[in-house]
Amino acid sequence: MGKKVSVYSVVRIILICLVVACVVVPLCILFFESVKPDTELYNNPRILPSKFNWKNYQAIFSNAANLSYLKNSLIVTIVSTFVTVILGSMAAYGLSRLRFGKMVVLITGIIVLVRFYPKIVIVLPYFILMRHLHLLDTLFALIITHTSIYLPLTVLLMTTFYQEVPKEIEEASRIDGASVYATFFKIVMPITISGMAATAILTALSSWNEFLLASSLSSMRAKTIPIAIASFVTDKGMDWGGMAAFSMVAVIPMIIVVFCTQKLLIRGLTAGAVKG
Amino acid sequence: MLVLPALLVILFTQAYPFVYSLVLSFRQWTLSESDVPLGFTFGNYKQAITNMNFWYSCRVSILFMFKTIIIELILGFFIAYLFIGSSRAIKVARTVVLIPMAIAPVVSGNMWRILFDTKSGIINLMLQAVGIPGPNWLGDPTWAVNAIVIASIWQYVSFSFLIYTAYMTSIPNTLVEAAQIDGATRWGIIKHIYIPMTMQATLLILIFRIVDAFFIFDQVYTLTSGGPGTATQVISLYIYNEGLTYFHIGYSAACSWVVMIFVFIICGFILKLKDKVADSYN
Repeated sequence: MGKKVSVYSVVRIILICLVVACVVVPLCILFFESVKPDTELYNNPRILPSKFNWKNYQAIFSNAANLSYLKNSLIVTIVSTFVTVILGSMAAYGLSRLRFGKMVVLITGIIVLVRFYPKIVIVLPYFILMRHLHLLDTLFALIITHTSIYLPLTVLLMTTFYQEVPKEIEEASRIDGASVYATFFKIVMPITISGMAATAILTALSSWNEFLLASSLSSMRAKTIPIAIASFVTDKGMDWGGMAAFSMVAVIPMIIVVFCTQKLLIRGLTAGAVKG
Repeated sequence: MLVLPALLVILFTQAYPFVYSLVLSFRQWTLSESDVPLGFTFGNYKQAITNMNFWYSCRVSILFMFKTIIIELILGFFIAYLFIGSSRAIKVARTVVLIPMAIAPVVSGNMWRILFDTKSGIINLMLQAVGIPGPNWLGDPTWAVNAIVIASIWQYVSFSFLIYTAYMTSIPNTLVEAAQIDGATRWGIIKHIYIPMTMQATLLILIFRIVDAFFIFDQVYTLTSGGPGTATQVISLYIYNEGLTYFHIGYSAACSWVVMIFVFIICGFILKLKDKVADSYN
């Protein structure tokens, strides 16, 4: 028995390393691509760069257009995450405390439906709507759409977190004369702050990476990072180095977020799937 | 009262485009010809059902979906099994495996474009090293589909991994130990304990991934843009191009409704199955 287990544990370690390598190596190659000197980029069977060349990164941070894409992404991500989490958690709290059973089922049903239908269905209506409102190519349009597509998930997630809050605490607060709003903001919100953080991280990740809606609604001024990255290959020929560098700029903050918040992230993702 | 703001936002910003899309699908409207929608028509649906390109794209999406999800389920299951444990190293490794989920699909599409490069991509270099001539990944219709399958598995296998992990950690240890004492083999334990006990996870992953994989867009857009030819023109790309490149607004909306209803039927079926499985455990 003992021998058999040790064979498995060796195989297991090898396989784990293999899995980790499958994730890490492609990313390393993307990084190498971004620092290769130009002459080594095309049709060159060389994986490691001969020397590190930070030109592509300098180009990103010295170009006003590129900086504005970064700024756009930051604004859209932060504002839509903030609005989503506030509105979503209020709604979720309400839903988890409402006493009319049928209403709750109905509203939850709508929210689940909205969470699941493919976004491609609403791309076109959004495009036409924003065209009518003269909001095409504005950050405001992106914030509205991102808020609305991530709101349902937030409501579902937060509902699961509120169900874990003991009712006695709230009742005590209500008996002391606090209003529903005061109870929510002063008592319940601090308890569920980690759940809110988990939801916020998920929303921010999705909003930062969102491409489909952003690409259909923005053409020049309101471009976000994913659009900029995609256009490296289609519009400007094939600027692999620049594209890779810009990709790294988009990816590194997210990797840092994953490592710093892994517990919250896992909690959010699991709760979201199991409940949704 | 607390529910109201969010509900209003959802209704105005989601239900409106949703319903509007249904309305559009019954309108005769090509944006390049007219600025406002013309008359009511069933023609869009008729056109969708009889259009070979539409069905072709559906087929591409369905094949892609099957390949990706089956491999993702198997891989996700075994990776989750490998990563059972709570040592520090395992925890770090788990986090690493989650990284692809946090990366923009657009980025991973571009990244795989570099990796799949016929002459200088690492994949063909590695194949060459073991003596296999690498295929022309993105230029050959068959291999281009496999390329998006691989890229998409890389990105989303962490989802099934995560869900399987959540369900596996809830399997009581005593059950596994009891089986070991009874002399069950490792494979036997996987087959008779782990697979049935994670059945719910499997169905859960199926529902999420069917919707997402069927409507994959970002990665395909950057990796192949539907090419070579139309070999990887998945349904989302088809609808997107019809609507926003050729401005066949009504037709594009009708197409999206046809596929959405189709996918919802599949998901409804799986949900029923999931309830059944859940019942059999209670």
